[in-house]
Amino acid sequence: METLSTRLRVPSQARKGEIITLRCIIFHAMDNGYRFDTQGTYIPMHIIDTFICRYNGEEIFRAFQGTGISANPYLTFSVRATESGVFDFIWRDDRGGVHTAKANITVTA
Amino acid sequence: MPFHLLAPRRRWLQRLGAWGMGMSILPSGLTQANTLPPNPRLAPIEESPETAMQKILRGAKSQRGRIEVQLASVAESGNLVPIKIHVPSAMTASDYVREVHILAMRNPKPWAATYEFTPRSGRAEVETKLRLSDTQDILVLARMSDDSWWHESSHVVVSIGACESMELRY
Repeated sequence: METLSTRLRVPSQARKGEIITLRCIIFHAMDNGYRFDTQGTYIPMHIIDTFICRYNGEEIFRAFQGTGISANPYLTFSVRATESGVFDFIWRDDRGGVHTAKANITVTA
Repeated sequence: MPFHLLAPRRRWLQRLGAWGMGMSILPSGLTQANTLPPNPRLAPIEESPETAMQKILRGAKSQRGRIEVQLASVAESGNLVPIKIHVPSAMTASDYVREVHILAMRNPKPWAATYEFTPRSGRAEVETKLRLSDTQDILVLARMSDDSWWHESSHVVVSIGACESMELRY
């Protein structure tokens, strides 16, 4: 399986109860199935269709995406910081490929 | 041949492809924690905005309001159109925003995205970038924890649609 590069922006520290913003991007062409390459060959649909974020193993946010989302899909969402731990970012494409990334956070009282 | 006639065959090919890949991935030790189910909302063929709306609302009535949509009024290229959605809510265990849906009413497949929140989200806010085929209305639907539906729509003028720039993938 190809490895796709991802980029995360997650604050490394937060206060307990604070609402923090998580940003993530995955570099993927999101081929919508309406395009042809320069040789006129049809490019079939291939998109990142599901994304989930887990906070210490518990799911906090889920996204389903269609062809109406741009290439290199970018997402920003929020979470209330409750405890130190790890955020798991998981992307799935419509052919079953899975891509993951992790970020740690330290929560102070 | 027009696209809609090719679609069933393409769908079959895609399914075969997905199956083949799944088979090749499983023995390589993919952990159960990272397997996600297929996206049930992905439309296999083109559909009308009305159909896409009905598939989400399933007969429920929606009222206008409660949603704040930030979208540029003019976008030079349909390939990248930033959108920001905020649904003001207490986000407690008994009162929170469950889902937010984005529909691009003149795209060949109008359903663009669905976001699912939990009370732990703290704030029902999401930001992403859309791919739009044409000048159109963007409809945002939100479902609250009490199953009430709200909507807001926003108009965007797209100078060059994403479907017109065929040779450019980005």
